[in-house]
Amino acid sequence: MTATSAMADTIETTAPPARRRGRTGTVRIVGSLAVVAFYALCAAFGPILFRFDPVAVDTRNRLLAPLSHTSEGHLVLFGTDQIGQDLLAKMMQGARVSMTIGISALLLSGLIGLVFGILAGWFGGWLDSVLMRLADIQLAFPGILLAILIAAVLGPSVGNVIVVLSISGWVTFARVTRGQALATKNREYVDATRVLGARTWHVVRTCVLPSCRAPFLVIAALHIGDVILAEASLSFLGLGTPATTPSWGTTIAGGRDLLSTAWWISAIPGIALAVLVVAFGVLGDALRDRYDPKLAGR
Amino acid sequence: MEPLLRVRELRVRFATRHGTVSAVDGVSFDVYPGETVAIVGESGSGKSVTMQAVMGLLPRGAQVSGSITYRGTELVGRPVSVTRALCGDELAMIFQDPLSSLNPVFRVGRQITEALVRRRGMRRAAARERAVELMTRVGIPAPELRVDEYPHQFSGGMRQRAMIAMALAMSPRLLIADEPTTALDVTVQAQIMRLLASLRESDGMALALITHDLGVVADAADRVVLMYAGRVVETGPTREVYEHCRHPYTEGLLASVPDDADVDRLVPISGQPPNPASLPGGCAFHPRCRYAIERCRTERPPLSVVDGHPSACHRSQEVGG
Amino acid sequence: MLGYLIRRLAYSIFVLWGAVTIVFVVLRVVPGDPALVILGPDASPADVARLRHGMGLDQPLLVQYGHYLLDVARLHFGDSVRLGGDAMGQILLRLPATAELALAAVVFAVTVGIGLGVAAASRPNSVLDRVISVFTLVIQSTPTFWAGLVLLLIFARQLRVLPSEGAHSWQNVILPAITLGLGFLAMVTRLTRSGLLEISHESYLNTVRAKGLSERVVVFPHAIRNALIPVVTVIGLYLGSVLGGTVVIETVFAWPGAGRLIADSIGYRDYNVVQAGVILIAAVFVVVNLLVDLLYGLIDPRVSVGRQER
Repeated sequence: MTATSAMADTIETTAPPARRRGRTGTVRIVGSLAVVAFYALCAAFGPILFRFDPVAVDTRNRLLAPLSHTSEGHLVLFGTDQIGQDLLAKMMQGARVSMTIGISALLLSGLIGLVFGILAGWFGGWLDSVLMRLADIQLAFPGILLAILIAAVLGPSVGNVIVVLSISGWVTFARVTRGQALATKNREYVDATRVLGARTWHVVRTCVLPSCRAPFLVIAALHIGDVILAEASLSFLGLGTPATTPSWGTTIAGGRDLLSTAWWISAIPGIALAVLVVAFGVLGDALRDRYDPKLAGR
Repeated sequence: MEPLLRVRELRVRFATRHGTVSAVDGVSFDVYPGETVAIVGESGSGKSVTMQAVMGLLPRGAQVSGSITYRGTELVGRPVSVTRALCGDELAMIFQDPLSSLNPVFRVGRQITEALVRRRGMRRAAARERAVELMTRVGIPAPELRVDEYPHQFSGGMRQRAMIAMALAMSPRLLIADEPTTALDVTVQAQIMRLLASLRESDGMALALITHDLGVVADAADRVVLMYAGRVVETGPTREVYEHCRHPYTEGLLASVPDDADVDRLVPISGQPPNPASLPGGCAFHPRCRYAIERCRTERPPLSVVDGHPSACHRSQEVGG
Repeated sequence: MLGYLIRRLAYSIFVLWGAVTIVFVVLRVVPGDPALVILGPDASPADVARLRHGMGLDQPLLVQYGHYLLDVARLHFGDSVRLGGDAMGQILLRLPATAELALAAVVFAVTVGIGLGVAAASRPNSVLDRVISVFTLVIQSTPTFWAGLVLLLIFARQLRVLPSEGAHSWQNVILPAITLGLGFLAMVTRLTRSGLLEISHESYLNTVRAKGLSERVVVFPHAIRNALIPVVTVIGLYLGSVLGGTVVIETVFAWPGAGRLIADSIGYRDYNVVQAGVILIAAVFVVVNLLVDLLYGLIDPRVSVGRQER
């Protein structure tokens, strides 16, 4: 070792304070969680406060700009759309739909990934080969295209969108779980538990599942943004949620032809969506830095 | 005779989270045309940082003060481009680990003559010929073939030869070699040192040899500069320092060199090199020094001439011969 | 080398077979009665029965699958119900426009992305670096079609500097290409930055400096060639998103490409065209990844082409 490398050790410590050990990214985690919590509150209670009626048509109050007043004198913060519905109320409803879809699809793909990953990693053999080749094939298939294809066949409904999006999302979860299962299987102490006659399920539950927790958190935070974005794209193509349960994507798509006259119908839900996904992105990055520095930069 | 390189009161400091760390603290020495100067010290002694300062290779954020002049041109406090203009033609440098010093994705021949192509506008075909010539000079077998190979296809010794060929490409007046043999195995080490010595003789270039190994120095260097904790502790003609060392650290280093005549004398220096972030007070060497007295803990000895060459020790009279 | 080539080729064919099979499962098995899906819920039972027979749906599933594979191998995807003529022919007719758009998007994303990545890495944690990292995060978090709508609104409707729809002149490709390339741009920027920072302490960069070469030469080509090695793999993988994105982006900008045809055909229940388009895009994706894998050895000489055991 020369003087330089000795110096390098001391220079390392000049890294920005955000990278300090232990409390990595606490500010980012708390901040992004606060944003997510705000959206969750809007999704939970917004539709109760701002009644949204998908079939109500109010022609007198069509296309009101943000911050204007309806003929009844109510303030419409975000304006109204082409059939006179309050955009704010519609977006509260949209938050509920989009977040429900996002979380459900996430849970479902996480569950599929967990099961497939454990089957592949723990039992190995031909099952492993089949499942991992299936994952390869699916990755070779542009995700949004697969979603479009399935959605086109199933038709637009909230349930179908959830199914479609969880099918495109399981691979990452499965790969991580498989890796953890393999690692756990190869470690000495698991052999010891096995010898003691523990059933496979017990080992999986006590050894594999806990080791998946941190990577799952990271992937989930990074993945849920993609799910919400994909849902919006599907809805834009008319393959997502039906107009009776408008998601943000549906609302944005609805304003597409009115861009030059009523920009807010597309713009405001888009911003709302982007802010939420940014929050999830920041959360994912911060969790990754904290739990798994090796994943950084991916 | 004017020195090629004159370093005076050089200080290099790095800002860290724990405050400013001094890596080089008031180092002065000269390198004259055609001579070999060895800069010797343990890791953390500041020897590499000194030469990186000369070559303008310090990381961003390093604070340099003092003076470095190359043939009368002051380099400290000037834009790094002033130093860059000297690099290649005047100053060249080879590094400790020849694998990481060669870019893995470019052919060796191209890297050897890159400066000729980019700075002197040499054509590719001519450059390739020149590369083969240089590779022949540094003793790389089958240069016609190896010129088109990539660094990972070379062995450690061959990589270092390629680095030397690269340094020779622009015929520099001063070659700085930073631990050129440390990463190589013993037989190859001797070959590389012989190669450097013969090139120095044939080309008349000066050599600044950075090393932690006094054994390497004995045959190769005209003068030695011994560094400890960022300061020069002893300097002088090699023979004189070897025969009449005036600093306990030098004495320790000499004792740790395997000597054919007297293997029993092999004694390592006790203790660890100090952390540059928290140097001991007084003489930085005192915690490891068997001559240390109370004064050494409180008062830093200046570099002063005792018996013909400078050393920095309160008890230099008692040390060595 | 040859052995690896054959293995890699066989693997690509396997993946393609898998993709083709997924399409079969989705279009023929999932819906229960594909004829009903094609004709819609209001079709008369007689029509449904006729179509079922015409499509061979009255035969066992495995026989259907066999016929299907044969058809795919012979590139027979049936006729377009809406446009008439061969479904694959219709897709191929519009493929050049999609290729133009995708290529423009990739070129835009790679050049600008590398530029931004180098700028960010040259002063890590500076204001510029932070601005760029926020920019990439926002881009990655924005629905592409929405970004497209906003760009349309600003540049075509408000400023009127660029045309909004269709493909009449070269200017038409600008907005859709930028929109399509945005996500990729963010990815390239991040990877370039992290790649450059990772190698910024490598001693071969100091070798270049010691040769008296400028900082520009240190970055281009010395640092960038090494930093971009991981980016190349990602370009191949991300192309799937770019190709899939054409379906959405071409719809936003009324770009007359294969993606828009697929989107339109879904609305018209023209499943032969959808099937042909999806399989073709999957094939393009597989071929591009095969090429990227083979080209990898040219970019990184340390990787001989026998590196399949990862």
